[in-house]
Amino acid sequence: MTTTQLAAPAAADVQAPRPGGSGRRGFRRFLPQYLAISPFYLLFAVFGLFPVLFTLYLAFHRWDGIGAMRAAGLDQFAYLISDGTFWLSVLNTIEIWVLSTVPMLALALVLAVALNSAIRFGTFYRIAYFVPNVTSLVAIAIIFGSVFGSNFGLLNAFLQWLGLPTVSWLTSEWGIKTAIATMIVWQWTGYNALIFLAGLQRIPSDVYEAARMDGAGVVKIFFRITLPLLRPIILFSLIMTTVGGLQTFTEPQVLLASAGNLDSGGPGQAGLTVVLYFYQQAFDNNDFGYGAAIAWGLFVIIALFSIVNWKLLRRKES
Amino acid sequence: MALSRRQLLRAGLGATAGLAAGCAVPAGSTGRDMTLWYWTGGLSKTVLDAAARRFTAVDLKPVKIGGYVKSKLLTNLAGRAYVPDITGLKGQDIAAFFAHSDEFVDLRTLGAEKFAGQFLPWKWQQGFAPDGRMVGFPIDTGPTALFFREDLFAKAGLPSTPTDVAREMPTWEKYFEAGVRLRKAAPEQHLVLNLGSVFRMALYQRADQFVDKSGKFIGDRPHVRRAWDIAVRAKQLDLSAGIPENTDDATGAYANGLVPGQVGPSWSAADTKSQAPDTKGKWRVAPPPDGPGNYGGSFLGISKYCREPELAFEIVTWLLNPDNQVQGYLDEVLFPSSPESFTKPAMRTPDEFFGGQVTVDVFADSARGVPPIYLSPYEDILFQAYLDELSNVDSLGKAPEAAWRDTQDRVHQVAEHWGLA
Amino acid sequence: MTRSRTLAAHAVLLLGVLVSIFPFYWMIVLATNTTADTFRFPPKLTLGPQLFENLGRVFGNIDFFGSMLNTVIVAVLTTAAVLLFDSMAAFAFAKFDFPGRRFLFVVLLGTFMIPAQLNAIPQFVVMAHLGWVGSLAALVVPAAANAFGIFWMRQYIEGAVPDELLDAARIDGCGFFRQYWHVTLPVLRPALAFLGIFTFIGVWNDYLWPLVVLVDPDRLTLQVALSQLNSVHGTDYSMIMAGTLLAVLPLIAVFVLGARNFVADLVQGAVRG
Repeated sequence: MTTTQLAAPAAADVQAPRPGGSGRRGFRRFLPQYLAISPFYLLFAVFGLFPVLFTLYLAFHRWDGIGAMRAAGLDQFAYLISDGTFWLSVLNTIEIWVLSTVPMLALALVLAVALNSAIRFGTFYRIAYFVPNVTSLVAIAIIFGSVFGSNFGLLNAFLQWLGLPTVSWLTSEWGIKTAIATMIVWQWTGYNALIFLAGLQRIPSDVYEAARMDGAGVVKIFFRITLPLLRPIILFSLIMTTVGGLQTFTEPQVLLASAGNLDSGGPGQAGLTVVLYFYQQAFDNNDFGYGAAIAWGLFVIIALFSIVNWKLLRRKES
Repeated sequence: MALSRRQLLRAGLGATAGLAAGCAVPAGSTGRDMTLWYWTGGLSKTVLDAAARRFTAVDLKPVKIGGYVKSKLLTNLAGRAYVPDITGLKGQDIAAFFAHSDEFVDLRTLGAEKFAGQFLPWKWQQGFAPDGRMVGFPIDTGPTALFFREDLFAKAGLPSTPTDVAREMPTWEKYFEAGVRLRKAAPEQHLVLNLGSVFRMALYQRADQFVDKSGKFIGDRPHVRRAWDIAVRAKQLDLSAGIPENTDDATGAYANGLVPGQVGPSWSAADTKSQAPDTKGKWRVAPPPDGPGNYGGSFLGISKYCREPELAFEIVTWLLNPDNQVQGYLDEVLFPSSPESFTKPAMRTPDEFFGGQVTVDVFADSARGVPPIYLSPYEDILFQAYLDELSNVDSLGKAPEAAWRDTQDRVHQVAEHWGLA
Repeated sequence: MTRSRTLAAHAVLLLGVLVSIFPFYWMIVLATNTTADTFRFPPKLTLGPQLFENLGRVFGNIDFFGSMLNTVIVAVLTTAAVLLFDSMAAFAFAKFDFPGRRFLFVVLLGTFMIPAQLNAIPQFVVMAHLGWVGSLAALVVPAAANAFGIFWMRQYIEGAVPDELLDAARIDGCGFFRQYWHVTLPVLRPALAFLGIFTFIGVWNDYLWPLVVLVDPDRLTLQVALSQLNSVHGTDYSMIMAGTLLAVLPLIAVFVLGARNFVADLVQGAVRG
């Protein structure tokens, strides 16, 4: 998987890996490599792979956590397909993903360009932009909860002060999705901006000079030169964001928590993402077999999205 | 690097190996320990400390788990590791454990029967699994009452003393009528916080819930419809603030007098006390419209991994004797489940938060009148659909009939999934 | 770069900084006032004098510093393990073509796509069998298998470690591990710094899994201890925020001290490869 190669000219070809052998002789010859990756894979086998396989096994059973598991064939998956709430959660997750990813990547690009132009205070800005990643997500969600409260939230108070109408952030469908998306954007824009900045700084200035001598304006340079050269990095960010974003869980859980109706995703279940639905079914309802089926449904969706993302952006690479 | 890489490597490996050299995990407690799981506000600390001093044959170790006791207990039972000797079981959750009642000691085998007369019969019954084993010993109850701000009611021209309110608002309809008058006088105020809580309070005034004792789904019957209609009525009269419970908005609403009343369980007084301390002295309680109900209240169970069940039972029954139940009420607003406690002098202290009213009178009457509510293991699972659709009616303006139809579609699907049809 | 463009850039950046920092400021406001202040309308936006009183309540309710110590232990050990195992494996993936390499790498990627919450129950069962429930090993060992670290490192190594150097080492008779230890690791310092800080922060803030697997009240990590402050009845916001603020400060300190190095390195790292 070489999606993350920055298309810095010339340098790429030098990094071709050494040729390998095959068969038994190959195995012995590469013993050190296998040893090198074995600590990770051993741990992974026990703590990563086993739980995953167990969950797959679980998806074909009914289990409430304590008693015996009862074989259920494909029942859980049949239920999954017919479950309107599951598909609602998929739709919610995708809507929130679009609502957060597009502004986030755009903002990150803008910030990266600005950072590239600002020579002074570089470190100060970089530190400030990484700070949102430092606090625990649970604490952040509590803070944002008090910002987005419909009647007593900070944001509505601010809007009122400006003379604008207030918004029911946490009790309306798109209000909820916006609130969750805002949290995600707030958390990850700075991080991605720094990554894009790295890519920007890698572009040699003579490329810009040549373009300018050809008479290209700022905008043209940005869209015709900068963006294409940044494509691999944008792809990397996009895939990481997709994989993470489709698993959004803590934000809606804490933001919309209400003791009377836990893990419900709020009015209209607008904040019910797939992982939140999984959590509701598995841990609130003790329906672990069904929870496992949901999680595997999500895996399929994430895999599909990632492949589509990769193919789309890959094709445009020359 | 300051330390050589080699040194760091060795140190790290050594430390991890040291940590990993754990011994076999005990299923229950070890040594002299008698572990007890509870949650914040679940038991009175004073009583627990006193118990630790009194029962010196073991080291009583109360462990405060957060609000997620059910999941934690389930996880530990599944892993057969560190299962507590004595554990709190919330009223809403205990039914979920009935399917595995054999994970707990049948309290009858420890002589529980002789305590039966000490407790409210409907509460006592709730601790029994369908197979007849007694899993839970009663801690507290949550008898419902009508809480109201006497100053805001008076300002709106409504009856504002407990006696007047009791007389003028004996039914939901009359209560809502008063709500309409309130809205006219003070348009920024709402009578109820949200529809879901009205639905719940109305539902818990009847014995039947969503599943009957034979495991059959009954969530489409008249008793549920009644509670639904009452909740919807509140919306039709525009009495709902549409704020979910336990959110910042809810706290703000109480603190700033936007919701001057609620029908709720006794323990919600503790919530209000901590969320809106500035409103002290302005609240009163009256009997709930349409009769008493119950919401909440927990039990103590003894797990089968307990090595000294008889002693554990002694501790449990001591923790929950009438005098200690009174202490629990004074410390944590845990309304007793033993009627004898109601008449103790300490219970009759006037409550300053309620302007000096002796609140136990209202709660005790309510507690005595609660119907024998049957909670199956599936209550919360089925409740979800009703609450979701009611919040759509509440906050998104969805048409009530469409919401009822969608609820029924959903609950039937869920009921089938769980084999309750 | 024209003056106006630089000014515009700074303006945009400062706005971004304000937005980034404001929630922190709000947390500090909540932590230094009383809970009742939290619900005032219009909201109180300035710092108050209640910080120590709030912290006092935190310390009275949970073993703050004990759990912080546990968290430090877990974070340091996990970070060290991750840095070691991941860089070693990444080096193998980056510079050597051995049989099964592609397949193994794809499996790695697949693990990203499974929600972590799914692992809670089976992993707990595994821990029970191993006898690690309630121990800090249950936190360190599973976390040492961190796929993201390998992903990141591999990309960095591909770009940052020149093949000529490795060739020279090979000619000198260095085997795989020698090449790793003497040639690669020194070059990897910036990437290790970044991955180290990122891992440390992640472990410090990890909440769900420690919640499931830790039982002994004397052996908790910080986030689990803090979660015990949430009561069922009415949240004491000022207390919780004070506790959270104190829990974040060590992270910010570590981060600011090391950031000068590693932010530059983050920049390098994403570029390489």
